[in-house]
Amino acid sequence: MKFIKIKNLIYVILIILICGNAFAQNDPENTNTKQIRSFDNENDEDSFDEEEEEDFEYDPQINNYDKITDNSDDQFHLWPDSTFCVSHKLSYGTKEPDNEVIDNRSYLRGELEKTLSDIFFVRFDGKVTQFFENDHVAKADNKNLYYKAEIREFYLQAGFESFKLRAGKQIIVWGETDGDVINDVVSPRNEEEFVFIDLEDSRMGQYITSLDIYSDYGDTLFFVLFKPEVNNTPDQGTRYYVDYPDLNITDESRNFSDREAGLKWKKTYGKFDISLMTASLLQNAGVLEFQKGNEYKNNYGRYSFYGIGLNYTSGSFLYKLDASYKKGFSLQSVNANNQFIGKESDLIDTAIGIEYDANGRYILNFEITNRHIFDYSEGLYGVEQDNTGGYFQYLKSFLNETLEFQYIYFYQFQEKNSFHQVELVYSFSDDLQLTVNYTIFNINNEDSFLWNYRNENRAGVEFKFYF
Amino acid sequence: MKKIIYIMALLILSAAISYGQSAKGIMRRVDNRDDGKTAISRISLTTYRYIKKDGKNVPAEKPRVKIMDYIKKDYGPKEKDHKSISIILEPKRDRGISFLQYDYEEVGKDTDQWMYLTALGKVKRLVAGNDSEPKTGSFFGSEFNYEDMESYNIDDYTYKILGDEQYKNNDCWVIEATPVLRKAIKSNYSREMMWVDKKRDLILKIVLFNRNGKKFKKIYYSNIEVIEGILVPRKIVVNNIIAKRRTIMVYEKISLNRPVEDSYLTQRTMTDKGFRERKLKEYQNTIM
Repeated sequence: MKFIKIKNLIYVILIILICGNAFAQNDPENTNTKQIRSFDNENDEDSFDEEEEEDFEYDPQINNYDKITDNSDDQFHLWPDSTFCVSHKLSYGTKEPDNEVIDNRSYLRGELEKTLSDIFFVRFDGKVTQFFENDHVAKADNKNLYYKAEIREFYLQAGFESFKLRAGKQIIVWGETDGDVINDVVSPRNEEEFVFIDLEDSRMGQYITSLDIYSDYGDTLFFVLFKPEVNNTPDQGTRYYVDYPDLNITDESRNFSDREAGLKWKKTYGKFDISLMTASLLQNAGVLEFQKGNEYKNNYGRYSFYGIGLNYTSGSFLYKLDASYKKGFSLQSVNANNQFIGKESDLIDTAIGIEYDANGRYILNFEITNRHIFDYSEGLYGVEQDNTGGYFQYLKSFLNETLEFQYIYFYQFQEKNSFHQVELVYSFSDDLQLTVNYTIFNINNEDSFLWNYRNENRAGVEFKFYF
Repeated sequence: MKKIIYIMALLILSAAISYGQSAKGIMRRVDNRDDGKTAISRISLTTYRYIKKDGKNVPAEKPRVKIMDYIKKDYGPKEKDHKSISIILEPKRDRGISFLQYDYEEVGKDTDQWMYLTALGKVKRLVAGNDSEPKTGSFFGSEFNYEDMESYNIDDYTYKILGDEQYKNNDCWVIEATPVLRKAIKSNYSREMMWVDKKRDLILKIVLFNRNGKKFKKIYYSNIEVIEGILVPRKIVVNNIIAKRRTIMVYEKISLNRPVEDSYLTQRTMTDKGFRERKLKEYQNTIM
């Protein structure tokens, strides 16, 4: 009997020892365990945390569980995939003698998308702008109200497993850098308002047929287009129209035989993205060519384009490179009789950029661009053999991304021209946005294309409402 | 007497087993809990600043609502690498903006991120950020920051069981997680307290302390549903106590373990809406 009691005691001691071991082996970090609690009281100071969550009055409703493509609970929309934007823009020239209202215009923009079947998809993006009496575009036409309609994109797409075919009015964007046009040469630009134009409106659509092929070897784009569009320059009489009063200038006509074609291949290797591009293109910007007397033609010469785009990221930095060789690119020149002519040249455009992200606090972007003309001659107008530009951008968000600040500085080293632009964008709500900006020019070179902007310091304000 | 000794011994044994669980072991179970190899979801993020009025916290402004499609797939032998894509549907202003992200379990390997901006019309690579200071900036303007949205690496913390308590009628471990040095230098938080449901190995609540040691944010996981055999908290609330701002993240729709192809988590999905919609429909209709 006595033996049994001792045996039981040994068992208990053994069990306690095993348990003690379990503590020691399994939870070496556990040095502050508490005994089992039975409280979850808001005001119980012994609780690990005072519960506050129940005090909130506003909570979005949770619907019953749905599968992702089950849209049965969606509201009815005339066109479900649509975005409309109503905007009003005002700007004022602040420098004598041109201090006056420059822009006073409203627009309605509509973006519509629809999946027509498992294969077909259609997209439309267009806008109608109304220019009021004191807007420089309406003034040029001596009208109280002036309307303009533009279609930016309108295409039909057929998509398959490893390729897609797209036909219609579309925009093709190439290149890694933002400061200058190095590789982004396919879609023409809207130059009606220079740097004052919205980013969305800065490129113009043209009728293109494109084929994208997706494979493990990279993504490849082929495109071909007939009757290409050119840069949209300011209309006669508008504020930024470049006037040659003594010259009678006609635009070179383009037809369907003036085709453009190109190819781009892009692949990601770890922290690298690389793209190679080649194309046969007509220039987007015209070059004046003397005809006879005071007659000139705006020519858009053909050239061959070979480009490379690279980016690499490491830590807080993104390194970017765009480089292209443009063969037979026509540059504005002046002949011995002081007449404008085009001169075909070979050139290399390069942009090197570094972007620094301070872990979400702000972003700095710095780019250096250079155009090197191989067969440079004195007759070339407004350019030097090397034309270097610097582009600096600072971005910062405040108030949980409801307020965004941007500063841009651009400098042309040879011409010593520069401009500064500061911009604040505030979102009053998800639908209503206000943009305020101010731009200052410092233009010194009369031969530069920026000379027309020497008095164009201006303040702008724009409201946008999305629905 | 013998009986009493046995009962006491059993009580000590059960308490010892209960507390003897390693805090890290519990967290490993939480981390290893099946959350689906793939997820196709539609998420809403509602954010507002609040004020106290008549004893209640009420919005001081019109709440901002972001709705996005979010598709994720796990990779690697332990399925701890992730590829994900987020496409914004609302507000209209941001419609079509998308983010592609590749996260890696390997310590020190930076996340790869790309963004497609509709206004820019091209895919842009984003900087991962440096590891020597905390990442600031909010995730889509919400009270989640980018650190909150990163993949959780269990070895980035040491753990301690503070005790246990009932939280919303669930028996929970209260576990403290303190970042190890390599994590501490880049974290916005000096420590975390987590309420882990003992039965389900599920985090129900987190209290985050800022770098000065003050209570900073509380995160609540609720509306837990079993979806395709997997526990999913369909509502996650972040309350920033210091800024007095609150974000409610809701899985409006979700499908798990659908066969998402690798080609879907590429830049094509960001730029080709026709492809994106067609594939989503196809994945949803596939019965596993």
